[in-house]
Amino acid sequence: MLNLFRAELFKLKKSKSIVFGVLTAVALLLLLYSSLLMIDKINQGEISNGTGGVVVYQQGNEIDLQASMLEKIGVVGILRQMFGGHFVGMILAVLVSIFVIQEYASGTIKNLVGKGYSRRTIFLSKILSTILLTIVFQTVVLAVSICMGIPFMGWEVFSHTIWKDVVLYAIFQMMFGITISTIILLVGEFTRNLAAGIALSMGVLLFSTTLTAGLDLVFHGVDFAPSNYWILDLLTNCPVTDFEAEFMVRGVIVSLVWFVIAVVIGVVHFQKADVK
Amino acid sequence: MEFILGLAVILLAAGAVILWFRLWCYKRQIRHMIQQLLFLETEESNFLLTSVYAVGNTPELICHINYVLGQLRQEQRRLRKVNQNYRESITSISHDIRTPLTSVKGYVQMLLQSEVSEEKKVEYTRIVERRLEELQHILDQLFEYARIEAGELPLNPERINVGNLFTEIISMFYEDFSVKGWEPEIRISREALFIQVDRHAFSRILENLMKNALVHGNGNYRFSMESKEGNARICIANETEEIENKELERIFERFYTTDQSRSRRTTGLGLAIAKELTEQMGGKIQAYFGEGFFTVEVCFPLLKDGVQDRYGL
Amino acid sequence: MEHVLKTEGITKIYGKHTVVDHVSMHVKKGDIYGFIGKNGAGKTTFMRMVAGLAAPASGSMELFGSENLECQRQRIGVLIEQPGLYGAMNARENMEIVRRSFGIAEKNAIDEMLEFVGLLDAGKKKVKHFSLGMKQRLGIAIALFRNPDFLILDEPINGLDPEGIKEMRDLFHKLNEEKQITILISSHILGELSKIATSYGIIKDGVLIEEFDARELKSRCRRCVKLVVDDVERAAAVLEQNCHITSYDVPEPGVLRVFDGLENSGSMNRELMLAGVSLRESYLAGQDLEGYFMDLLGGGPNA
Repeated sequence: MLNLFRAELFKLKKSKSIVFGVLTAVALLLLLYSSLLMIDKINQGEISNGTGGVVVYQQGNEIDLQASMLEKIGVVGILRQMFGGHFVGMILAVLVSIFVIQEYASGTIKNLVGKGYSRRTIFLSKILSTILLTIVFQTVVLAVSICMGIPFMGWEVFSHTIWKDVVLYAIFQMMFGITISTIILLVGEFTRNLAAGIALSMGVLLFSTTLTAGLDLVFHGVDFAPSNYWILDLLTNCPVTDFEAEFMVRGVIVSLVWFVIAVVIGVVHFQKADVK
Repeated sequence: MEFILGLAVILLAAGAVILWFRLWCYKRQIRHMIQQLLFLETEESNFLLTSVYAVGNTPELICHINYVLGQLRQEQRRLRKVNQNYRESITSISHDIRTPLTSVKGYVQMLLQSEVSEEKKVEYTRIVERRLEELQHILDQLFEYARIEAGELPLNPERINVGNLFTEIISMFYEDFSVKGWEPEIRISREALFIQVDRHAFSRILENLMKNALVHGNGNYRFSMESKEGNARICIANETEEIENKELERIFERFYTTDQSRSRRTTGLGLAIAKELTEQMGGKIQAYFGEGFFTVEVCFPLLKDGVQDRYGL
Repeated sequence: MEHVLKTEGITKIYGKHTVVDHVSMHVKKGDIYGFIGKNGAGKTTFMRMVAGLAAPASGSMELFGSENLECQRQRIGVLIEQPGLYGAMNARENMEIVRRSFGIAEKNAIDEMLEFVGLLDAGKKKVKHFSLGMKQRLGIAIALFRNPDFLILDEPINGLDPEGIKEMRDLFHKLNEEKQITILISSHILGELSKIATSYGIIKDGVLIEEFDARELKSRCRRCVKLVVDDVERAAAVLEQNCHITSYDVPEPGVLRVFDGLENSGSMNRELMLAGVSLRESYLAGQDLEGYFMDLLGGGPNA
């Protein structure tokens, strides 16, 4: 398997899509930071606002506009928008889908299957490299998010931020990210078609929380909330501060369970399915 | 103080883990190689060893083992080819011997019949004699070839004037050429060229080449001798139909004859003997086809002690 | 181990359609096995099952005399339909991925292989810009990279120009002779196949109808006098006794093929008629390969 993993590393290195993914993330960050800067400037009267007024919501609550938006929202807020707001998730969904489905589109999966490696080994090596991709991508986005704060907020950004929170948030997002990437890998493996795979992954990413919200209502009577146990809900609702022990334990267990489920289904399917 | 201690402990622990990991990789790699070698011991295959944990210089080890395996297989292939050649040679020899023998048998049977006239009996006997001579010749050539190849023929190199010897041999065959109705083009350099070869062997080479040209040529002939780049270069060419590169490659192989010549009763050893002798005496021989002529070229290094005009001028 | 590939009743069903129907194939070591059939007859599907890309619905398979397929599959090289190549990378990078995947240790292995297939000067050209011939060659390079003992090739000369076809043919011949590689090759270009194949397998509508070697094919295509009669035994007796013909066979009921005395077909006819055998047809026959296969497959292989 190590050999397969080395080959996957080579593919990742040579992949241009990842560069585009990072650039997109950078562009989004720029957009976020610039918006906040604009709001502040409007508040301070330095720029006139065409529409007549700005309202800022954070987690459903309106924020008092007297304080500096940049400071109020800060790096953690940006991070929450990037990760919890599915920006990173969407880019990763596309990257992982491409990474998996291209093997079927280009036919290169034929070079690996039936050549001595068991199907399980091939699939597991794909999972390993997806995990690597997720970790690397998220780390890069994290680093850029923080560093981009410097031109916008000056060097005080480092003293204003509570680093323990950032680290914990990053760790949990990484855990959730790995599980979600594995699910997207599974979707790609089933659909084996780029358009279908990406569409379905996006659907899962953006709309599954709506489904769980609905299920919450259904099960309201029995005091059971499915949204507490769905990985994407946890991703969105992950706090940026005051991490509760209950949440952390639930987060780890839910990630692990869904990860294992995705891996098992993927391996079983790959072992049985014919390769076109 | 404790900080440094703590750091030292962590570093040591990390070092230990890394060392243990390397050892593990070595172990796995070697086990993998053993598995593959076990497989190769029992199966004849083209399979080569592969690396699974490229730790240390195990990839280099693998490359060397693969190289040795490659050599082994090449040797096996060569052996297979040699065996095949051997089988083909035996078939060829038995065919060459069977043909005249069958003829002899036929005639002997006829001789045993009482209704045959005395005249006919004499004629048949003569034919039998001729056939047996042919057979003798074939066997002689075979024996000679075997001796030459084994290096058992003694070679006594001496200083030979190439031009003189060549002219002698051409005149030996001159009648055979005129019978065919052609006047061969002869170009022998006026310089006296000297080479260090065994007289008999060198004559043999030229004789074999001439005979070959006679037997296979169906047109004109060209003989030349000149000095070229420190070598005496002798070319014997006969006009003939196109010869493919594939055949040219095999032309010096023992028993090799192109299909048409099967009927002309050659053993296919003439050129093989010429090649063997040439190379044993330090010369070079090659064959090529161009402009309708099949040419065999023989080169021997010239003796350096000056070159004189043939007539000593 | 005499057979490199031995299958027993391999079947594949897609929905209601049985694409491969109980195929039992025997490929001997050192063979070049020509696999012939119309488009859609099940050649590709069968080969994909041998290559491990698809699973058979039923039946068993032995590779190199062993049922441990996963282990033995390390010795096979496969090129089925289009080669699997990364379009955005160049030839060398594609080979590098294969090299890493299988742990090939030699550093110059890639250069050697590219040179062997004639792609050394492809340079930085991306595979998506390759011509069909170049892609095929890269596909062959990948299939040969692990020094296989068995090559499975599905229509490898598809889309090549005549020069390319000749190169491929020479290559296969060389591989078979020098490296003792057994080759299973499917094609509909019969002329090409007949130049190198040593054995043949004919598949029609998913069923392997015949398997024979090249020598037998030659004998089946021999020139002969074909006699269509009503009483084959009587006719055979007449031929043996009156015409002294011993070299004949009965390929199907009512038909006699005589390999001897082809110049005397007239006297054969006369003798048969004198003996009261009803002779319906008598003609000189002898097939070329195309004709033979077309008869077998019914209606031409290039559907």
